[in-house]
Amino acid sequence: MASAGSGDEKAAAAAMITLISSDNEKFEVTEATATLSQTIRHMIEDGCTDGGVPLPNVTSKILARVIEYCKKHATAAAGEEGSSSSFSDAAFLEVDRAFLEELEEFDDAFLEVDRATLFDLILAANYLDIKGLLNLTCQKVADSVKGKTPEQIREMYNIVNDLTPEEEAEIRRETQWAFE
Amino acid sequence: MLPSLRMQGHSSKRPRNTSSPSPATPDGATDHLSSLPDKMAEEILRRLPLDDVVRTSCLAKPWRFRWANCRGLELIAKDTPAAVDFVLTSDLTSLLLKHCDIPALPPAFDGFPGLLELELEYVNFGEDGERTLEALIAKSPSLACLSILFPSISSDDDEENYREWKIRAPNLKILRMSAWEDYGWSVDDLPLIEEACVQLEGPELPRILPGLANVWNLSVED
Repeated sequence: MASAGSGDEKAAAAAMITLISSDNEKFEVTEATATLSQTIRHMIEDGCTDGGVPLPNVTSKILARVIEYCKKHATAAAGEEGSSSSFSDAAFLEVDRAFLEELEEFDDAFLEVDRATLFDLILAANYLDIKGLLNLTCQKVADSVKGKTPEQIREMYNIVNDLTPEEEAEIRRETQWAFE
Repeated sequence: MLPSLRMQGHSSKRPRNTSSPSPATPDGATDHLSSLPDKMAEEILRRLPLDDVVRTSCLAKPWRFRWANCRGLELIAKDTPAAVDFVLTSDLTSLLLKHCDIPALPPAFDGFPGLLELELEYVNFGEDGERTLEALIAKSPSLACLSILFPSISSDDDEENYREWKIRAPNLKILRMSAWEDYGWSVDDLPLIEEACVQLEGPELPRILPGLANVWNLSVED
């Protein structure tokens, strides 16, 4: 399988896939970029990408961001593979570190979006099954909640407290240790 | 200790809101967090320390039991005995205990009826710990996946003689056991077991393997 596959893989690396957003915008991406999405990877494996891949749950605005993420991370993955054979160990580590730092900077900048976009990215990452993007976006939300009181979280995320004062008092009593 | 929590914890599993429309506050601002499907809300909860996770139960009604259905909840060494007690009397589906102390089970512990996944990593069971561990497993009848990695168990005598006891789990499919010592354990009544990975230093292997005769994917390491 591996020996027969290597030629095919090279051909596949250059193959382009068309992604179609919910508002019918078309995006041409390399297969290497597209297959960061497990969902699309499976579609490619099943041979159902001819004529483009419709993504009815993802708008063009969000899809453009998702593709930006995948491109960067696909390049990083390819760069790591290439560099491992052409550098000495020390040089490789140096390049690797630089790569990771650059990737981290990219991720930080990538997360500088408004809240609606962040949550749309979570939904898209889940739908497209892109582990790294889901991890990144969910961690951002988790960090925003960490160490906050319920009041602060409600205010931050516009959560309407529909518990009666009695109910809330009861929950706080039961979970008192979590407030200490 | 927390009868209402347990009872309602059960019923809360029924209506899992997967794609509810975004709730809006009276002034029109969207509540993005509450409108996330459960799976993604869990992704977020799983990345928080336990006290943060549990505090979400008083955000609003939909949040009250959301945390308890979250997979991969983690109790770690820094969590206080009150936290351990609280968790042991909650109705959970998945629990990971890491580097923490489990004393004798609290009197209010009457099992984890809905627990599917239990992972114990470097957990310290105090005196008579083998009984505690046996009870913890026996009182979690739904368990499908059990992982016991390098526990530390104090026996009730100084010679470290452990009485013989059995892991009984009628719904268990996956079992992982790793230990430096023979804690007197063996397995019994695992009719659904499919996969097992045992890494044991003690002489208990001959005692344990017959109970794993039905496993189709068995790995034994030493």
